[in-house]
Amino acid sequence: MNLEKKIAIIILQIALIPWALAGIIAYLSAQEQINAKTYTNLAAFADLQKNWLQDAIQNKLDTLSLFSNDPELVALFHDYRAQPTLLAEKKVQEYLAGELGTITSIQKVFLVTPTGTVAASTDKTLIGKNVNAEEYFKLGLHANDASTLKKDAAGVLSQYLAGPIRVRGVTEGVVVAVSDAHEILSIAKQYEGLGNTGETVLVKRVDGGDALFLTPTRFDPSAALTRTVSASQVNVPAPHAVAGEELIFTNAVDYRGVKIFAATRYISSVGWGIVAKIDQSEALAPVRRLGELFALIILVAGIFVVFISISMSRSITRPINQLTLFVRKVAEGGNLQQSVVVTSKDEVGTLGAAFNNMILRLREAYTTLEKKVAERTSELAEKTADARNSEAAAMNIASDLKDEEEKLAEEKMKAEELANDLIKFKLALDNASDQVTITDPEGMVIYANAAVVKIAGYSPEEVVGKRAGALWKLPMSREYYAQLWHTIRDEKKPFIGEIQNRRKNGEVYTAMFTASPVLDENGTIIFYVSLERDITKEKEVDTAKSEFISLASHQMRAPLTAINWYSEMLTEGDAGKLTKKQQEYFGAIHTAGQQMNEIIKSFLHILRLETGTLTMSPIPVNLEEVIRATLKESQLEIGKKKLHVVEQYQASLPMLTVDVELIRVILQNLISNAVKYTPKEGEMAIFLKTVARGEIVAGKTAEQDAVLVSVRDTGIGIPQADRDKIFTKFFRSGIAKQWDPNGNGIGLYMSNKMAEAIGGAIWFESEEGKGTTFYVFLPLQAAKS
Amino acid sequence: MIIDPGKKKVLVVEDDEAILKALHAALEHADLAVLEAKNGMAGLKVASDEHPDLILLDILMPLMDGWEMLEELREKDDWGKCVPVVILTNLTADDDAQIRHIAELGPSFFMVKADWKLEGIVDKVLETLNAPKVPCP
Repeated sequence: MNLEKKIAIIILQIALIPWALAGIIAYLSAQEQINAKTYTNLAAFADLQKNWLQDAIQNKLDTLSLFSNDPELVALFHDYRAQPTLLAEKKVQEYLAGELGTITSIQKVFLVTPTGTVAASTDKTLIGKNVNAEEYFKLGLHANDASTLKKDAAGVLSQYLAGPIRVRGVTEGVVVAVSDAHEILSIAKQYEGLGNTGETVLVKRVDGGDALFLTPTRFDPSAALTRTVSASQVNVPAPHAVAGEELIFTNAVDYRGVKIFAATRYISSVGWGIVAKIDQSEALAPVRRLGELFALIILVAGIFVVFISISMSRSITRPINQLTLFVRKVAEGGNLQQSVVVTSKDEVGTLGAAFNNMILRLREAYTTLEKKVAERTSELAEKTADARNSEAAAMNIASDLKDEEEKLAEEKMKAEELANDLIKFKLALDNASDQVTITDPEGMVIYANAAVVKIAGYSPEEVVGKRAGALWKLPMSREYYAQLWHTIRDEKKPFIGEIQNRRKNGEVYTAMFTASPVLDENGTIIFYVSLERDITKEKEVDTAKSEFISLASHQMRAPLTAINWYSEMLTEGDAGKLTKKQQEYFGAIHTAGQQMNEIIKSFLHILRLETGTLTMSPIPVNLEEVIRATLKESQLEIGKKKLHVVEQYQASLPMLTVDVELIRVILQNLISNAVKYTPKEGEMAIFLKTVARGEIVAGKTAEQDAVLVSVRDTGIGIPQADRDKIFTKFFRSGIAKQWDPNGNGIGLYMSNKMAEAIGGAIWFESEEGKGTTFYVFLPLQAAKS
Repeated sequence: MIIDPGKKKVLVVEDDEAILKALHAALEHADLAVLEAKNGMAGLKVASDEHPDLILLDILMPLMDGWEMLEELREKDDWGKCVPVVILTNLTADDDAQIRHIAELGPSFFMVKADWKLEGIVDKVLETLNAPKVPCP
């Protein structure tokens, strides 16, 4: 930024800041005064309204006491109550009619017994009606009251005045005078002095402290007795007014949700609240105008100051600019023959004079220097030529030597590092638990680690220098070795597999075997590295486990088969006709036998899954058919419970290649659970569709192309606390136990394991009391076991 | 044992007395002639002597098990190579050994006893007997 701008900005700041500050302070104090005036106005207005209304109510109460305190009416009513003859009734009626004729604001008068029955009325239709539920009646039983407003069928407001008729302190009835509400309405309607948006609203306390509008409002003509303002709303004055609080609200919201200023008042004789209010936008309008005026003034003054500051700064910087221009000419052009014209007598003028002096001296010094330089230059040129030649030769030799030395040091370091690494590496290899042997390209052993003692039964020294094939006596088939050599020698790839070899003592052992060729940079095999891990023990244990499982299941099933078949033959009548009871009992034995078989099957599945001895036979499977067949198995139960079943299958679903038995078990469990845990007349739905890899369903991402099965029910749901345990073995949720005490808690555990075994997934979404949806991803190509 | 020459013959090889009896009754009820053997050894002999139309064969049995018997039967002669055999066992065909045997020896069906009603087994036997003869390799 140049000096001119800097000076201009400083002047500008000095001139403008006080202006702006003064403006803001004036604005704020004006705003405060205007606000204070608004609050005073509102409070005064509310007070005025309160006075008017109190007077009006007192008038009404006076009118009411014309009836309730009239000794003649009291006496007539007392007679009628003592002996309700037609004559007594007629007298009361006539008296009421006569009185009514003298008071114009009263529309009708009626007398009510303490139990609420209308005994006499100027409006004949009311006689005999019971009004004991009416608010005016309840209030009138105790004291003279004018607080009840009611709307008739045409929507016209009336004020109900009610008071007790007492004979020697005993309440014999209530007199009710119905007056028009003109006076109250006209008071409430007076907005003068409250601008275009101000008004007073009249409210009464209802349930929970909410405020009910008694009269129409300026913005809602139908508000009377219909609209309420909730006590739970924040910053709304009406509930405060009906709570008896007389306040000023400097930041409130009214029933329309508009920001307002307000004052509240309370009329204790009737329990009514008054809210006098005006919209903030209107009340603050003068403040806003003032703000705009101040802003305008600051803007105009600002423009003026900008002009002044620019011209002032120009007058200061002009001579400095001239000086700068001159100095630049001297510096760039080297022209020392001119001098600057200095006119002013201030600091800038002194600077100009000093410059002229400096240039004069520079001119002298320069002339002397030029001379000396020319002399010295010619002397030097001669000496330099000689020196340069000898120096160059020496430099070359030194640099060659240095390069050589660095190279040697580097190579030495590399070799040391390599040797170090090799020592560590050999140590690790020697002591590895897997057997490691290295042979030359002809199969001659050149290295074996210590594990060869434990696995093959030879010491490393016995092995080195012998042919691998001769040592291990080749118990595998010819094809196996051919394949091995083809892979490592011809394809030059690693061979991985299970192998059987012979130990030194002739014993055959099974090992996980890896053989890899090691190539030089031309791709020629230098040696082979082979790794063996002895898995004989593991193999034996696996086989034993697997055989035990098969045998145990067979042993359990043999007697069960007999039970099932004989009970079947008996129920079929093969051994003679059975009685109904016998038929039923044998049927039960047969069913129980079948259940037992299902349980054995489940345990077998679990054992196979857990021991990893499950062999899967993937075949092409039509999922829709499997689902229909599974549904059929639950048909009886579905019918009994009148469940509504929805089936939605995507058209042309691809076939799955998977072990159908596993799929069947998963679907059986999900469907039978949905049926079991859904109450009568509930709904279950089964959906079937394909999902692409990466698609997200109910929070789960498909890891490959798959079919999604969802089973949704409107059942009891899974309690939050049980959700992470639902797939645990033998776990049963408390609520599930209540519904079905006989479950065994392995269905979902098994389904989950099976879904995992085929590379799929199973999960769910549930809402307690609403229902559960189980989802299953079944990959299009199932994993091989 | 007197065999009605008009009826088809089924040989049941089964060591469990109760199961054997039930099968015998059910097959006879379906109008078939039933031959019995209580182990593979005996089964092999009855089969060669009587040339039944179908063999119902258990696997786990004393002396000679079902797979051994079937292996010998298949190797013995042309008849043995082709006779339909239904394996009826309580072993499950979910381990490698069973699957390998099924693949090598080609029984018509592999049925788990406990999973089937007698009626279902008889239906399968009849279905196999009435199936059109496929040329035997």
